[in-house]
Amino acid sequence: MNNAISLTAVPINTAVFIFDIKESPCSGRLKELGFTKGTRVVPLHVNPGRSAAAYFVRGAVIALRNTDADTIYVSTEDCSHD
Amino acid sequence: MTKKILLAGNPNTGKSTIFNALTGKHQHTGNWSGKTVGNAAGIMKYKGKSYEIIDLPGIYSLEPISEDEKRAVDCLISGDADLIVVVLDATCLERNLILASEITKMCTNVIVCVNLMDEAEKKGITVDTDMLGKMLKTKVIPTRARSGMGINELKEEIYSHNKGCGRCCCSTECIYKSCVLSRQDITDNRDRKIDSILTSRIFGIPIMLALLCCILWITIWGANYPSGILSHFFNNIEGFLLNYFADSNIIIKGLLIEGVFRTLSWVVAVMLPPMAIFFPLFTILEDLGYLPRIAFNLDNIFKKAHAHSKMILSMCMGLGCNAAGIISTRIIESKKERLIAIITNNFMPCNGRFSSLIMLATVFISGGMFASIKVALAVTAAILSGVLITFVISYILSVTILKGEQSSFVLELPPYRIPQPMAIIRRSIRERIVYVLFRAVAVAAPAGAIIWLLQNVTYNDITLLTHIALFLDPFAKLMGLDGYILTAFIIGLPANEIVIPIVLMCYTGNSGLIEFNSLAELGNLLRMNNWTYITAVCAMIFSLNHFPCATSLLTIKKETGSLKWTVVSFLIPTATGILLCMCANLLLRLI
Repeated sequence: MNNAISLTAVPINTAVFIFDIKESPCSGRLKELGFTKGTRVVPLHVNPGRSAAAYFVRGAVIALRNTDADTIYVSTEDCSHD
Repeated sequence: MTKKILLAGNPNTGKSTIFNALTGKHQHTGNWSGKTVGNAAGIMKYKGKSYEIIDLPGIYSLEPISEDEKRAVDCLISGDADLIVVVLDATCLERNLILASEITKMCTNVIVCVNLMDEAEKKGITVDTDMLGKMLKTKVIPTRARSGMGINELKEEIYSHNKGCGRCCCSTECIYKSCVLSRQDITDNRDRKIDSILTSRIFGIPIMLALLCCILWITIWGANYPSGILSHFFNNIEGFLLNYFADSNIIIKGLLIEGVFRTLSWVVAVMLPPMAIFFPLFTILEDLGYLPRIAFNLDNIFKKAHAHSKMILSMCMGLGCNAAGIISTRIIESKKERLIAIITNNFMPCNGRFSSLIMLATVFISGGMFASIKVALAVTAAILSGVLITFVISYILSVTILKGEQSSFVLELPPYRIPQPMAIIRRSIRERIVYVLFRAVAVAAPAGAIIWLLQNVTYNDITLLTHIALFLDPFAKLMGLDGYILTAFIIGLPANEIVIPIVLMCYTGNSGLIEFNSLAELGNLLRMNNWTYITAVCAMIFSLNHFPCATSLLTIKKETGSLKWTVVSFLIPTATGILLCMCANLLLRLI
C-alpha cells in the first residue's frame, strides 16, 4: 500500500484505481455501488461546501462525502491482478 | 390464474416507466434514485392472459440498508413471483450487472431487460444483448421505455416464458468486458459542463435560489389571471343560484350555497391556480435530474446540522405534499436520521400552504411595479426560513432525543434528461387539478358547512364562530393574529388548502362573495378586517410552522408505527410556530 493514497487526495479529472477499502459502516454500500478493488475511479467535481465530491465509477456518477471517500485507498495503477 | 411478475433493478433504471408502459398505469417517475419507495402493482393483459406486475423500489444488492430496499428485497426473496424482470440501465451496465448476476445466481425464473438503449447509443456505448443473454443464461430484451421500443417484445417474452433459465456463473467484470463493445471512459461531456456550473462553488447555491425564486414568480404571475376568471365564474354561478333558490329554505340558500358552494369556490379560485402552475414547473426540475444536485450542493450544511443530505429530497417532495415527503424519507438508511426527516418535513410548505403564503404576501406587497417579483422574493424568503428552521430543529433533535452517529452520504447523480412536456402536463392535471378538486369536495365542502353553521347559529345573540374567535382572540393577539385566523387553522386541520378560504369565509360572513380580478385584490378584504403587515407576517410564519395536516399525521403514524413520534411531529412545529409568531409580533411592534 506504499503508493496508495486516499481518494479525497486525488486531483479532479485524474483516473485512479481502487487499491483497498477500509471497513466502515458504509463500506458495504460502496461495494454495491461498484467501488471494488481494481475499479477505475475519476473525481469529477467538488461541491460548494467542499464536504463532498462526485466520482465517475462504472458508468455512473456517485456523490460521496469526504469522510466516506477517505476510507477508499487508490493508486495510479491497477494493482488488482498483482 | 394471474401470474405475478416483479420488476427489479438498480434505482433510476426506468422500472416505473416500463411498469407504466406494461400496465397503462401512471406510477410516479422521476430522474433520481429513490423516487419509488413502495411496491406498486398493476395488471397487464396480453393475448387473453392477465399478469400482476409489481414495480419494486430500486436496490443495489440483495442486502438491503434502507426501508424502501427492505421492501423490495423481501418481495424478491419471498419466492412467490412467477417471473422476475431485472431492468438494467444500458449506460451503466458495469454497475447494474452486479445486481443482475446476484439475482440470476439466486433465481432461475429471470429475464433481463436492458433499458435506456437510446441513451447508451448517444453516449457511444454498444451493448451485445445476445452475448449478454448467453452469459447470464437468460433471455435479454433491449428497450427504450420512454418511446415504447421493445415493450411488445418484453410482453411477448413475459407471455411465452415458461421454463427456468440456467444459473449465471461468470463474474460481472467478465460479462461486462464481453458484452459492452464500446464504452465511455468518463461521463458525458454535456453533463459535466452543466454540473460544472450547477454544482460550482460560486454559482451552485445562487443558481439554486434563483431557480426557486423564478419558479415562484412564474407561479404568482401566472396564477392571477386564472384566479380572476375563476372568481368571476363562481361569483356569477353563486348569483344565479341565489336568485334561482330565492324562495328556498335556509338549508339550501344558506348552508349549501353560502356555506358549501362558496368555500368550494374559494378553494378552487384562490388555491388551485398556483398549485396547478407550480407543480409542473417543479416536475421539470425533477425530471431534469436536478434534485440530487441540490442534495450535493447542500451536503455541508446538512452535515453541520447533523442531518442526512438525502433529507433534501424528501423536503423537495414535501413542497408538493408533506405526506408524500414523509413517505419518501424511506430512502434514508439510518432510522434516527429518518425520524428527524419525518418530524421536520412539515417545515417545508406543501403546495396548499405556499398558495396561502402567496396570498398572505400580497397583503403587504400591494400593486405597483414588480409586485409579483416582490411577492416571489417574500415567498422564497419564507421557504428559505422553513429550510433554516429545519436545520436548527434537526440539530436540536440530533443532540437531544435522537442522538446517534451521523451516517454517510452516498448518492447517485443521474444523467440530465430532457423532460417530456406532455407527460408533465398530463401528470399535473391528474395529480394536482383532479386531486385538488377531489379534496375541495371531500374536505372543503364539509368545512364550509361547519363554518356556515358556526356563523349562523347564535348563543346569547352572538354567533358560535364569534364565541370561538373571542375565546381564542387573546392568545391569537399575542401571536400577532386574531381569533378568526387561529380558528381557521384549527378547522383547516384536514387540509391546508382550506385555511385561507376559511379565513375569507369568516370575514365575508353573509356579505356575499367578493369578486376579484387578481390575488392582490384579495388583500384588500384582509386589510378591511384590520390586517396589517404584522398580521400577514405572523400568519405566514404560522402557516409555515404549525401542526401537519390530518393526512400527514396519519402518514407519520403509519411510517413510524408510533403514536409518540406522531405526537412529537405535531407538537414541535406547533410550538415553534407559536414561539416564532410571538417573537415576530413583539419585535415588529417595537420597530
